[in-house]
Amino acid sequence: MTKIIFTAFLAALLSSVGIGQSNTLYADLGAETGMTKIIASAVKRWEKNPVLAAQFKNANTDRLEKSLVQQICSITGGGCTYEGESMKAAHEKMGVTTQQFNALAEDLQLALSEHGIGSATQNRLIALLAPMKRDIVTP
Amino acid sequence: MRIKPKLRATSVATSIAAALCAIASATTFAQSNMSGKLLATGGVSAIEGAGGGGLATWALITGYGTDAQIGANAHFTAAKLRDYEFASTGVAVGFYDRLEISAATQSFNTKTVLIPISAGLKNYKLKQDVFGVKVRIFGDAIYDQDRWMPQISVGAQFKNNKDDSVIPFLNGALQSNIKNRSTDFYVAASKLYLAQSVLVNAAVRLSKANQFGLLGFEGPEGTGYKPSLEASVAYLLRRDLVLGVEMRSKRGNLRNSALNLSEQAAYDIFLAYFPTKNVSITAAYLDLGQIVGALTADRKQTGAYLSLQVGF
Repeated sequence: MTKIIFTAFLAALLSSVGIGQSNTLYADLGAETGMTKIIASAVKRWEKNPVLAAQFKNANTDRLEKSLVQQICSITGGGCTYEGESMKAAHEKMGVTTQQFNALAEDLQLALSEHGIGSATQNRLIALLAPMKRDIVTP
Repeated sequence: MRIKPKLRATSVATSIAAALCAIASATTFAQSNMSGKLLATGGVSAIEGAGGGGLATWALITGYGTDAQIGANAHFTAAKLRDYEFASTGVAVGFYDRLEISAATQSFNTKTVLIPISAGLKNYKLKQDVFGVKVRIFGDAIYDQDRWMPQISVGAQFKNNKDDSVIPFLNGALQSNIKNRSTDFYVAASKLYLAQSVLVNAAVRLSKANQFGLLGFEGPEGTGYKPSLEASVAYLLRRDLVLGVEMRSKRGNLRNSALNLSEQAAYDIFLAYFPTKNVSITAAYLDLGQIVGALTADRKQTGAYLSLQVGF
């Protein structure tokens, strides 16, 4: 009995992995209108987060928000071209720690939740951002 | 005659646990709200104390410490099976997302099962201490979303079964030399498929254990290391809620004997809830297969599993 439930559950999970999404991730994130609000809310959280605040002290919030929206648009199938600096160039002198990188991600998750983005969609976005740790965090 | 070594083993376990707690609280408890890893990626506690699922070992290092932090967890787990009750208490500390050290003490209450052997064995508890070490070798289960390579860790678990009644009885009945101590070795792989919200873990364990070591090590069917498989698949329902299944094969060395001591694979279906990074609660439906089948009507030992974990 347990084996049957186990196998059925496993099959369901593995098949869910193969299901393709019909919408682009950008559309599921609410496209430009949605992402602009989400990023604004994320940046507010970053500026207030004690782990991150120091890194945002001198940031040009307006430019940062626009650049982030454009970058997310470019990697999530929104059709934009990211014109900003590479992640490596933008962060190499900042001394970003793994803890700070994760705090960024968590605040972004909170901002996504705040704007009604479900967990599965959030994870699709975080999956694209996670490998950027290699360029953002100072080893 | 065996009282002294038993006492020593218990006090060693207790003092190591106390020392780990002291190290942990002294170093990073103040930062508990600033713990680095993403929620739920610290995992829950396996029955042997290591970070992972309940049955299957993960390659992830316990706790929420990053490469520059220390994380730690204490767990209390109880399972009520058809004929037995299981409990495990332990601590695990993760250092710099690289090294994990764990200690756990397990108790397996045989309730009324052993009464046919001796009336004095009512509610007899098989007890075992487990000391574990795990090292992350390479890969990163969480960040390497653009690479196929999973996170790989290797580990060892020294198991000290403190029983002085059941194992000697079995050795007499089976003309065997079942041992009280042994060390398991394993290689574990973990990969988070974040875009699909799925975490997959697999481990190969080399062990001489009978029923996780609760019935000792080695026996008439074998004295060497045998490989067994552990696997789990979990779906991240939400940032703080994980649903999954686990399986763990058990080889055992007591097959084909008069008491029907054959073992089967263990399975569970679990739901883990992480309200904060400091607390997690895991509930599961567990099937450990037959355990001393001849005295339990050859029933599978199914039941409920509940685990509380506190840490950072």
